[in-house]
Amino acid sequence: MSEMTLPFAPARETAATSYLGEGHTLTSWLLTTDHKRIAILYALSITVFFFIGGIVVGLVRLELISPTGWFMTSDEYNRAFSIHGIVMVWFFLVPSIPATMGNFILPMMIGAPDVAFPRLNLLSWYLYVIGAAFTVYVLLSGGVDTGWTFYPPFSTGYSNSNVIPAAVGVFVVGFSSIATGVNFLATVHMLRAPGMTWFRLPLFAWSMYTVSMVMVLATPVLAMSLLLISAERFFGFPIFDATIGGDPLLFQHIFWFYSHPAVYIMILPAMGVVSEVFACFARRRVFGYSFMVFALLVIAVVGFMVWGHHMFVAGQSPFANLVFSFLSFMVAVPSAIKVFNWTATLYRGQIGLEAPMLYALGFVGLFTIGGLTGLFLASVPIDIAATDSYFVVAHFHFIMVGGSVSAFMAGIHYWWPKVTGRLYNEFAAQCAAITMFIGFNLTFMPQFVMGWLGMPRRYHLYPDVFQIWHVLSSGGAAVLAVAYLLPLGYLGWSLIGGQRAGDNPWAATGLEWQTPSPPPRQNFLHPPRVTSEPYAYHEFGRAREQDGETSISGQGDVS
Amino acid sequence: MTDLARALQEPWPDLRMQREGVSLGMWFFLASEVLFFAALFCSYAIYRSYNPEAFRIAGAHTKVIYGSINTVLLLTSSLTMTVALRAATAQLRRVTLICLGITVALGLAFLITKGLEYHDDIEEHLVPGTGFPLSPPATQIFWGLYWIMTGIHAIHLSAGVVVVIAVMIIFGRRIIPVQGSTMEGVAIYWHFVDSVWIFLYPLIYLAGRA
Amino acid sequence: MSNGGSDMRSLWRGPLLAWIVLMGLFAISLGSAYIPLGHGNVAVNLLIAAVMLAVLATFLMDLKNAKSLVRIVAMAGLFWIMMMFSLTFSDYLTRW
Repeated sequence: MSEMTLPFAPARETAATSYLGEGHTLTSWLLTTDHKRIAILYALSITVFFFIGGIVVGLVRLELISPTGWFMTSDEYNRAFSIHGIVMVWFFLVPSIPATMGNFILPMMIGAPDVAFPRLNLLSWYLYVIGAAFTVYVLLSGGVDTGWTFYPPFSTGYSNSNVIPAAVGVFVVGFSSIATGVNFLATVHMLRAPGMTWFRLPLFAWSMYTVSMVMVLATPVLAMSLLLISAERFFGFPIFDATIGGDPLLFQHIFWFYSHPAVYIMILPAMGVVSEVFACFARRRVFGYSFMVFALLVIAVVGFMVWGHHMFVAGQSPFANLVFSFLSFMVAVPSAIKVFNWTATLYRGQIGLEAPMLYALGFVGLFTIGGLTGLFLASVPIDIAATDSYFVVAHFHFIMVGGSVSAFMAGIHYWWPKVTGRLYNEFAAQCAAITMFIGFNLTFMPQFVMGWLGMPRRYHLYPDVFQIWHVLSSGGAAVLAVAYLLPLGYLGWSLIGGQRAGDNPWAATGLEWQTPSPPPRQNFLHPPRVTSEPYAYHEFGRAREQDGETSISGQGDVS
Repeated sequence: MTDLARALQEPWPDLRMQREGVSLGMWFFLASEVLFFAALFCSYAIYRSYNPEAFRIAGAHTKVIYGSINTVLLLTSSLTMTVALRAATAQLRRVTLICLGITVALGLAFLITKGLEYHDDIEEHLVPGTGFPLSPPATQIFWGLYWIMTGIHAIHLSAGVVVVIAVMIIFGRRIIPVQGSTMEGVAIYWHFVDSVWIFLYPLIYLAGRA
Repeated sequence: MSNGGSDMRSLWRGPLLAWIVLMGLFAISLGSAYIPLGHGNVAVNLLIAAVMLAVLATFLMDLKNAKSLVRIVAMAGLFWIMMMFSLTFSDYLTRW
């Protein structure tokens, strides 16, 4: 509940010893309950899986250069795209922003010394590692060929690959996201600093709150769907067996009850990050703050009611198609409100094109395209034509990669000085951001085209007419790979040779910037107290003009 | 008050908030658990609405005696768990421990009864697969769900039993005082496992009686 | 740590009452299952189960005295169940 008089735990630090200096042994990291260190552990592990997923899809794109296939059998190809999907969805995208930036920044943002249940937080990382170990086992022992969706009857009866270990891996990692979600919800409810009312929460904190809601309520349903197919496969309990009256479509209902909201698990945090970055680099208060909050909440709730649009051609009743189609259009409304408000935030702002802002601007463009093509697919007649084509593939990659990964990069760059205490090379970061935008569009725009022309997904042998589009797409993937490798270089270098960042290099608002970088163990040297709304950039002094960095003649904020 | 100080954990400023936080966190987790079981109940509901006759035939082969005994055991264990929590709040350490002991005993009795029932079911080959004695074939769906539903519930209950035993050891050795936040979470979880059974019982054991 | 008899009585009285009600409802549920009511059987059984859940949650899980936030969380679970059932059945009940 919203007690405004939270007595803050006394800060023990007197000098500024950072959380990084609290111990240098391996156990001081592996047994830590500090949310900041756990965030780092998560960041390292998801980065590993991001590159595993990336390497696999690199092979896929390489294979697709030739219409006749050249180094993979069809079976190997199935295993490659399946493991790409599983790794990227559950081991990178779902935990990406919440478990790293959420873990690190959320408690600081609301003025708390830690998350509500620090040991549960550590447990969540270990669950992730256990789930990841199963997935690595699957990878090394020959993979799984069902696609990331595990549809029966293929996954239950006909697949000869490691379905059960893969399902167990995903099952376990699901509990790590539930643990994170429970933790964040309790943290936001119970541990806000004095004066931090609900409508003073920064939008990133709101996005973490809503995404936790979705994680807590959706993930268990995925767990059950995986449990049911595992029971059918392992014990032979014929739950989805059509020959005795079972219904394979029921699995799809249960699976998508999670997996559609999972898309919002990926995109809500991205929206939060982008709101922070826009406000900071346009030196503007976020336009329509309360609308932004309600849009997050509406997306989180209505996002649960649209799953049937994945099953328009699967045998679902036409009436249900109608209902789900309508609800899917509904969920576009709050998303559109957000895009509109971001644009309005930029209007007459003093826009600086630092790397986080470049990534965030890329996010808005790509998310808009991804969202609008989502509306194509939400309408039944178009979906009947475009289902299971590369049009769908391009659509959801625009949301997940163009949207979530861009925002992930924006957030990494934005909070990097806070996390490490160092500044990275701005020019290199800007180059990487632009390369990523170009590479992304080159990879996925051709997929819209060939999908619309009829190229189905999940095939590696295809008619010659599509080859030009596949080659373009594979070329784009190479550019994208460079864009993903660049940050490893300059961010890594900044740890050794980067300038000291100081407490607040971006002159940003928000509690996390009012403490040393890197922050002390208890996050704050003095108990924080909040006295104003978030994003009060107009009170911050016109930082840019004072520094004489850039002078943009418009009045940044007329108030 | 040193006793109470030991109950307080980072990052909570005081014990009242910690208790509130633990109870809230547990309820969030239960919301998650509710949806975990909801997916199962939803599958049951759909299959039963499509195969009412098969479910009636299959349901008649469940062992209503075992099921009813278990219902009584679990409902009673919820009673003793509630009293344990109330005693803990009132700082009655001994009463808390006794009530937790009874709760564990009832939980174990449930699991033993369940084991006997599983034994009988297997004797009658009521496991889906070749040689399944009932027809029509959709009865196998009921029995598949039976094993999964009761199995998952039993796993939840076993976890509860283990946790309660652990909590008793912690209280017994005075590592944490009973009035800390531990009991809040444990009690809510235990009642949740009980309330799942409240729905499993009619769906499984009373399905084919009339 | 001394406890008088009146102490014990206040400890037990409320929960015991709830337990007796639960036992009664359980007996009715079991008995009604043997009366042939067709589809009515399952309706009666589920209705009783819902009442039992309400009794358990209100008196034994102490939602009666809980903060409104906790009640909202408890309700949220039920609301999401409703969403799952109604939308899934919107498919199954309208197939041909």
